[in-house]
Amino acid sequence: MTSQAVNDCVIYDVVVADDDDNVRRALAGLLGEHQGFALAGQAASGVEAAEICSSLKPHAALIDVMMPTGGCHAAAAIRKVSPATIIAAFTARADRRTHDELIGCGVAHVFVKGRSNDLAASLYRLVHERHQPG
Amino acid sequence: MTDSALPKPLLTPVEAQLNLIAAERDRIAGELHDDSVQAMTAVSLQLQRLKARAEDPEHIALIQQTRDAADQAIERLRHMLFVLHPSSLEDDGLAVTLEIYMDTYVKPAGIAWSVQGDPQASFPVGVAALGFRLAREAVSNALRHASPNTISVKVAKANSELAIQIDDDGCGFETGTRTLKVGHLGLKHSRALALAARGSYQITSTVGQGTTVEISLPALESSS
Repeated sequence: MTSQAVNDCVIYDVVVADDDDNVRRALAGLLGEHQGFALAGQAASGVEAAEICSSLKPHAALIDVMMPTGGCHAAAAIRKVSPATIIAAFTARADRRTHDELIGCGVAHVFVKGRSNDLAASLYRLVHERHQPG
Repeated sequence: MTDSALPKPLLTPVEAQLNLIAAERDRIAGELHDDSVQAMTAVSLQLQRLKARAEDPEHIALIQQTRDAADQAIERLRHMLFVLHPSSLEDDGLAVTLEIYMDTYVKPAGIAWSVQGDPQASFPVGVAALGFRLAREAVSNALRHASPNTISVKVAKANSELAIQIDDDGCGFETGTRTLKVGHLGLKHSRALALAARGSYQITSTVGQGTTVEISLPALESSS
């Protein structure tokens, strides 16, 4: 897990996971086109996401919560194989309880579908803060 | 014979029917998420990509307006998912589910709220789902029509019944059918649902003094 910098912008490897092809494609495109991210991999399930993270040890993973294996399970699996990966969740659920559960499973931040005005920039800020403390 | 080998108590016909309705609403909510919410989310994300590439200020503004519309649709769908069948009903029970609802949808309106109820009290899922539906409708009516400062909900299980009471300190209304406004037609529907489940639905309201809704539903399957 080494980050590189282009034009003073640190570039972080990111993995996206969503079982919906259209959402996964859109997330991959959005993050892949952001100057601060290099798209390292795409997964259609929590198990696949953990496998990719185990192999690539990306700086960040953005995971859907309602994949067949479940967001909490996926986050815990990623944490186990790649503890330094910053995990962000992407969910349709806006209630605090769901968010608390996800945070308890190792998710660093929860993005709510339809409420994430600039998802790529927000995720970048999160990952940069966590990987470049101080 | 171990506990797990004991036969489950038989459901009454009404409870069985309510369970079927709850299962159907759960299925619809699942399909709404997997289909409509995901499709609108993909649209919203692709519009973010398009906006980043656009240079003409008019195009940028048009893309943003389109995206705002998509996000509003997602917001409405998300609300519908929760209202149709909150997954916490099975996992955490009725009182906790009502707390989640109040925290998510009442608190942002700046209205004080409370939910009292035994989180361990267990009801057949269909009865709990109908109880949630009727209580949520009553709270929603208070939010839309009564301008209350406080809404409180009490959930209790007594004598094989689920009892829910919703109190608000809003403006109240005349309960006579002649004065029911269009916005209150939901009350007639709620009462009809409760009666169809062999339950009861009572409204007490005085203009200027708030409203109390008392719901009672038979819940014979007991584990509390």
